[in-house]
Amino acid sequence: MKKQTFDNAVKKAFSRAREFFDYADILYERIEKTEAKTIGSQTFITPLSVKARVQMRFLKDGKKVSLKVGDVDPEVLCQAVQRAKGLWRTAQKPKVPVKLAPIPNPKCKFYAIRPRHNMAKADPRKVISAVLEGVRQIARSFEKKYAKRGVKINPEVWFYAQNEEKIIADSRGIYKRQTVPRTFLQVHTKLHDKKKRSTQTRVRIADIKGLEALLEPTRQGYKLNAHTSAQIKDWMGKAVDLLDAVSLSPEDIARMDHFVLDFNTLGVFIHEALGHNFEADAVKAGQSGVADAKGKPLGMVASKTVDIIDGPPVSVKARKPNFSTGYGTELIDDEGVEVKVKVLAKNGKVKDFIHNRETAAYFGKRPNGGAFSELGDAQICRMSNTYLIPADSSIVHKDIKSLIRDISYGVILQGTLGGAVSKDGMSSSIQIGYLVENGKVTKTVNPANFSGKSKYVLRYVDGCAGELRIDDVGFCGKGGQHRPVGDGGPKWTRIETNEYVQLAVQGGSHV
Amino acid sequence: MFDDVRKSVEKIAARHKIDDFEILLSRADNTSFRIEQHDLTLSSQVGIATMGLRLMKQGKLTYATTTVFDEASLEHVIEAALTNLQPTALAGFAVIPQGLSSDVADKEIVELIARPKALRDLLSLMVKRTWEKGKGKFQRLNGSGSVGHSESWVYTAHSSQPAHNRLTAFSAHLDLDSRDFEFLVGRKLPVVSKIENLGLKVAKRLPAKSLKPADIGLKGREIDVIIHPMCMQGIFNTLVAEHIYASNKLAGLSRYEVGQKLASTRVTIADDATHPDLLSSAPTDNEGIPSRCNVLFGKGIFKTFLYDAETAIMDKASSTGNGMRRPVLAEDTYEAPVRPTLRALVMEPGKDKLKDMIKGVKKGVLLKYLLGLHTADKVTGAFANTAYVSYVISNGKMVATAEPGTWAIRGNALELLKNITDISVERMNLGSALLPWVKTRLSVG
Repeated sequence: MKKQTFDNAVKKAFSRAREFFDYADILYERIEKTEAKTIGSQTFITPLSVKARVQMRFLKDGKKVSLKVGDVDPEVLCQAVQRAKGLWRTAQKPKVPVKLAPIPNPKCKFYAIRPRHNMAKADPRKVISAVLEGVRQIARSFEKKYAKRGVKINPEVWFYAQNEEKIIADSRGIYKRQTVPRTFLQVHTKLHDKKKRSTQTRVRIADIKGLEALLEPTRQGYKLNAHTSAQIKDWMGKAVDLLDAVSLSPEDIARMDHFVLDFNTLGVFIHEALGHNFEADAVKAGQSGVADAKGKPLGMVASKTVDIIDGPPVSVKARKPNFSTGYGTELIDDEGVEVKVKVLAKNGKVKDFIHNRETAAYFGKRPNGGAFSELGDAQICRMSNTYLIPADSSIVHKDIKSLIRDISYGVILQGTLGGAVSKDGMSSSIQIGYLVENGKVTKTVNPANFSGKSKYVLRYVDGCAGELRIDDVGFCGKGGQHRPVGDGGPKWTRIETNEYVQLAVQGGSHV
Repeated sequence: MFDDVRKSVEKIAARHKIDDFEILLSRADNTSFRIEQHDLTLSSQVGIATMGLRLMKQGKLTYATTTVFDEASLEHVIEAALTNLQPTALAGFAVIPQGLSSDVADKEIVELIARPKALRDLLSLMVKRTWEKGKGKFQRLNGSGSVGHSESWVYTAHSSQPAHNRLTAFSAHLDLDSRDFEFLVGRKLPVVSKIENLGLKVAKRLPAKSLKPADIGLKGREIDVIIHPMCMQGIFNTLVAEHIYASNKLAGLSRYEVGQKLASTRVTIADDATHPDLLSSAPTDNEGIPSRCNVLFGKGIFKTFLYDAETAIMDKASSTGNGMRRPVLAEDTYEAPVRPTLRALVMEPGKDKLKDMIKGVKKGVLLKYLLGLHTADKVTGAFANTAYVSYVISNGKMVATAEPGTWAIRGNALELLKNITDISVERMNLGSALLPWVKTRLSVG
């Protein structure tokens, strides 16, 4: 968007808004995306998709109204102001008047994460070909390796690379603009063998980076980078492992002493079971399981040996944020507030919430950069990257071998296809399990579902191993608004089995 | 709006020697509301338009999408699209028959969009009544919904006029204490008393206690389950539909064959996008193929796969009018590829009343919602998910809600269809489905 076009349209709209309202702000978002999908035997490619939307918000006498508008056009924006007046007149005055906390650092205007390899400057044919061919080559190599078993692999690919722009301006002179790239790849491996057994796994690789998140340049174009290839190979291999997987009966599960979760499984659990409960709009609405409607914590939410954090990844030792990585990372939120590292729980105790300007004012806090919207929707409190880190070095093990050594009967749970949450309970899927008997991995276990009482499960964390990983990436769908997020924790986290968590393994032959 | 966009696309198509194009254009206005305790907030969407475009040149296909409609922007996305033409089985896009237009806007809804004060008064009454008459039964009230008006056009290069669909929609959803919810959805404004009493209906049936499976000896057991229409829609659309789509049949991923008995003889299900009451009904699919009623299961026998134009050619069949833009996951509908897609699921009712079905259950669950069903195994139909806002039935009565996070329900969607033992006479309109309550058996994890 050209600054002058935006400025002219917004100036006119704010001038009209000031005649009636105390305050108005505008959020303009635009995405240019290149996308490819293979589904079944078909390939769908959209070399360029352009989408833009506007969110306008107006306040007067403690009443707020908001509108989603199609585009930045002076006439349309002025029509929206007119419609907002009508909406405002009919709006009820809330019991607590709506206020917006001030935007910290109002003078800083421009924020950017610059891609090393920018999709906008690349040849989409070469990029898409590198991704699709790269995945197909890996699939063929697995078919060759397992030819005796008649393994056939149909990898379904979803790839996109996009450049995002957003501008936030208000009637009091705030102007902030951010540009970031975001690149995403999902490979859904659907596999069957000659006995007509079928399995599936899914892996996602994504980051707030340009094409370098997945690809590296070659003389002819691009190829999958080493990290991407390794991830795809790992999860295609797991689809093969699942051919020999067993189920676990409720009796088997009842005698387990530990679950070990990889960062993907833990990540979705942190996001669903805990993260949503820390969103201050949920707290205010009385829908949080960790605090009452006044923000008063309802008790411990995790073991005292861990912290729960939202924001860009931090180095565990230095606690320094790294804004150059994390699929959910941004520099400013959709209200123009710079994103902070939010320590949601410290030593297992509730410490902070994820705020937008409205909830920050309501709870008397400073906004911490937690307001996000999906293209033109209202800015609500959202997670970005949510993860667990150890707060006590005594629970940190050298490696996975050491972590499972004293497990007499348990299971390692890896990967996820996502999860869902209600106020008190949550559900998270598991892609594959590995049975642990007397400290050793013995069998592959079928996909499963991990569910629990949100507030209690992480109180039983008693060990972890490996580096911080927040690359369990996905799309949070809160309020019908999709937002890219990352989550995770140490590569491996161990939880003592307890009455608040359940595992249900999909059918098939039992152990 | 349609005419301006059509003219621009035609001009650009001529410049680039494009052989055929297909426009899917939509525009929507609505007023939505949120309820938090006693507070009611209204917000609006003004002139939200989207376009999905498919282009064919020299026998190859490409996609372009945009929400920005000036000619320069359209030229920009079309030019980019032409850099990546893909092989296709299609010879061209549909020629849309004349007269495919539907205009069933409900005057009362149009009035509510224009006069938000009337909408506010109606909703305020609903909130007030829920608090006053449901006093003591709940602490937290949350809700949302909207009144909306939308238009969509499907047009192809060789058609003389577009297929046009104009409709209005109403939806309201109320949640009490995150323990149970109720909703209304439809093309017309429901009877006012239904809206006013929406929350009260939930408050009246909410039992005071909640139970874990172990509390009534059901942990690890196979039990009687009555599946709510909303949960049934989730199971069908997420897991069963995967085996009905021709694209999956062609990829060797469907476990179904036409003519096989794959459901209980009690089960007759159609995909009927001509149904007048469903929001998802329209004169054509997204490819301009006229909508029709496709019987999927007739007395348990699987009757047909669902086709779009391309899979129909690939399988030497005819399109069933199911070529819809179906998202893979998080993209908007207009950005999604055209694929065979369920449109309006309609299941024939049974003979028993729901209350009699509940009376017949000694120990079991009325399953309203399974958390995270999208994570279940689409290849095999297996699921193991947590029950949400469900009711525990003991000796024919709903005695408690299922305690959140403690009821893991395990089953297989394909087997579930075979094991339906009862179907209610009542059906619920879910917007894109009209379904009864069904009884089957599932395991508690």
